[in-house]
Amino acid sequence: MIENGKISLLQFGIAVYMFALGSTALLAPSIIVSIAKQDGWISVIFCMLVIVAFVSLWSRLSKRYPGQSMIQYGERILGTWPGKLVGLIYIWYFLYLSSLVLRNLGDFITTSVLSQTPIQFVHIMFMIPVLYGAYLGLEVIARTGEVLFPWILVIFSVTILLLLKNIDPGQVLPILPDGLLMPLKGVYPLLGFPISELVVFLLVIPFVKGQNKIKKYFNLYFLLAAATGACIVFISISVLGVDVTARSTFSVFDMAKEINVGNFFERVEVLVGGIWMMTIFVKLSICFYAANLATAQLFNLRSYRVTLLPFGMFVLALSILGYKNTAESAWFITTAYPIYSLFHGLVIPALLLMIGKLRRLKG
Amino acid sequence: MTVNKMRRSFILIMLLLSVSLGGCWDIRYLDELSTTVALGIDLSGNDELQVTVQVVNPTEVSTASKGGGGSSPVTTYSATGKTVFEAIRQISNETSRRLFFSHNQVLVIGEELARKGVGDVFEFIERDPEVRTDFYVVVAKGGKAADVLKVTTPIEKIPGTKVHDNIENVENKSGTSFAVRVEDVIETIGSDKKEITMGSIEVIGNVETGGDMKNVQKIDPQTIIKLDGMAVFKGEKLIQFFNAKRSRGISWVDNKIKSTVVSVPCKNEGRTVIEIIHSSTKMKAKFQQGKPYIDIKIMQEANIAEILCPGMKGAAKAVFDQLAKETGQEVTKEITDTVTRAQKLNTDIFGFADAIYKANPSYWKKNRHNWDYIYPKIPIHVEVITQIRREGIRNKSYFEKILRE
Repeated sequence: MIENGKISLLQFGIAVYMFALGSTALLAPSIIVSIAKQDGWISVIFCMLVIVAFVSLWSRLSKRYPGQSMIQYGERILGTWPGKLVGLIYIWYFLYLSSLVLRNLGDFITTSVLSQTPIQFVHIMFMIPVLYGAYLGLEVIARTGEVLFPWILVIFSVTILLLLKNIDPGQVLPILPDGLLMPLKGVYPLLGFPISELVVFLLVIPFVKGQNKIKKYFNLYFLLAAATGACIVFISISVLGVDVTARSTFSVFDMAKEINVGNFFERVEVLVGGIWMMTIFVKLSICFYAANLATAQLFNLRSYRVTLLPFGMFVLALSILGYKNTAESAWFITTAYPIYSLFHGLVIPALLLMIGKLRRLKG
Repeated sequence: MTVNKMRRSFILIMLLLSVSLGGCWDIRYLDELSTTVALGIDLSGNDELQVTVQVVNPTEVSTASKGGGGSSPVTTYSATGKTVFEAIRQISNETSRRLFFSHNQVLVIGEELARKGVGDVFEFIERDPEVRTDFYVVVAKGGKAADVLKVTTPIEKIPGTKVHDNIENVENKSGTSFAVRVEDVIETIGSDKKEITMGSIEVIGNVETGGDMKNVQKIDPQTIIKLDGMAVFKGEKLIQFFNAKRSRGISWVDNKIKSTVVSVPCKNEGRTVIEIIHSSTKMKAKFQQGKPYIDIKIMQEANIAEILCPGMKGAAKAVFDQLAKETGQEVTKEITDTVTRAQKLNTDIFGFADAIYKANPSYWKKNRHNWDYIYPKIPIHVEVITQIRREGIRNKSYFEKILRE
């Protein structure tokens, strides 16, 4: 076995939650609101239906081939060479995704917090613990998620509590002025970012204890993340207004700037920024770990650790080359990325499931 | 411990320590910064903007060094440029320290610029991550913003702080002007369903001598800065200053009244003065036969502050009810006057459009292009419910005994 660790269902669920929020909750609110206006939060609620469908596809696939990762049964279903090709596609996808996530964080830090610091330096500093986490393996990453999770909940609920007086639900009105079309349009970018990205958990599922409850936990924590997201979008609109939310690059951070209790408890937005450090760490670690694990499984390496350093440097380089600025990333997220991401999250898994059924293969 | 293990932990510690280096790029030493407290923007001659910053002179405001060197607690710097940011960068020609905007408290816009349009002012403020958008904006009535920033103020050593606190004080005590933050203005500009209003400020007295520290050495300073009513905009252009009473009408509609004073005439002569201690306004658009009207409901609580009615009996239930009713009528009159005025100027400072959009999006969609014709004719319906809570620590007034003919 390349990976000997086992993680619990709860750790799995928390990893799903943090992965789903990841960098999405930082970037997506303004993107969705610019499309769906005040109905942005309804878009996120619509996403829940999509999530249930995706989870049922993925869990069906992993149930059919228990104990195997997607890379392994992909090769069995499609035959050696086509299977290897699909494996390569996924390795590239995970590496590319890692670089995008890293860049999201870098953009955030350099625009909002440390404006003079070179982005490369932020990336390198963040990549070091990620590499270390991936080196130690899945168990450690999952446990890190478990440790960070309560902090996220605490900071998040305290933020909402402190913002209560700034919340003006009137900003969300009127609800659905143009029918369902607008919020449905807002679902599109979310299909790729983050929903399809969670396909990475098809590599993690084999290491979870309690296989029969995977679907339940997957659904529960994924939907919980969506509910959190809907909540974030709702509050963001009702605190900042539709216009500002749509124009703000990191609307949640701007929202946190509004916190002011009695003129002395203010300027705490960096704490809220801390949430993204945590969720992005977990997302990036899992993504990067999966890329290495997939490589090891595809090429029958003895350990997944050999590729850590080269891949790490590759991700660092790619994160700088990926796009020029946040405007380009927002453009990419709303246009091509959902299709690209859906190809990995929906098309390939669905094909694998169908071909596997036709060929009557079982785990 | 083997050598290998030791080497490994050594490398790990080195790596962990290097993480903390990340902060050094953005390091800001306090003694290398000039903290701005107020920002003034004026029109300067041919299409240029003049930016004036008021920065704190740290040795003069510190409590440790008594008295300091006798120089002024703040200093202003001015520069002109085509845009706000260009001008701000020009200021570095004059300052030894880097300007630091995170603690800015107020933005003053010169009247001339406000009349020409304030659109240019806010883009930089909103975009820059260091400048926060929670400070207050006011228009310098009848003058330049630079002049307002140059006047010394008693009690509060830093004029920027004095203006900031003054704005809050007015909002809390009289409601004839209310605090408008930069982000409120930006939000209003961004929506097409409301027009901007902001407070106005005036220099009373001589600006030249007002900048001298001698000004505050007097018991009665000859030059002061004073808040006035609200400045009313249409689009990005200032069109009129409302007087105190009309400005309070805006506060009432906008639910900004916290506490204020209303006086109603007595039956024969004299006045009764009512202190509003709590007020909450609900504005809704309603439709009657397809035509919109605005429904304004105000619930307020009041105390009796003064009864100056000769011969009037205080504390009787009927008298209180009557007073409550009259207060309501007085407030209604004020609101109606303000709304009529705003409708005459055809500027939707109350956000009636927004209320209509929220109540009936399809009506708004159909009529948004005719809004300039619809708005001046929109009827309003005001209902004020006043509850008189207390009459102070006397239940009867000695005015009962005073009989004036």
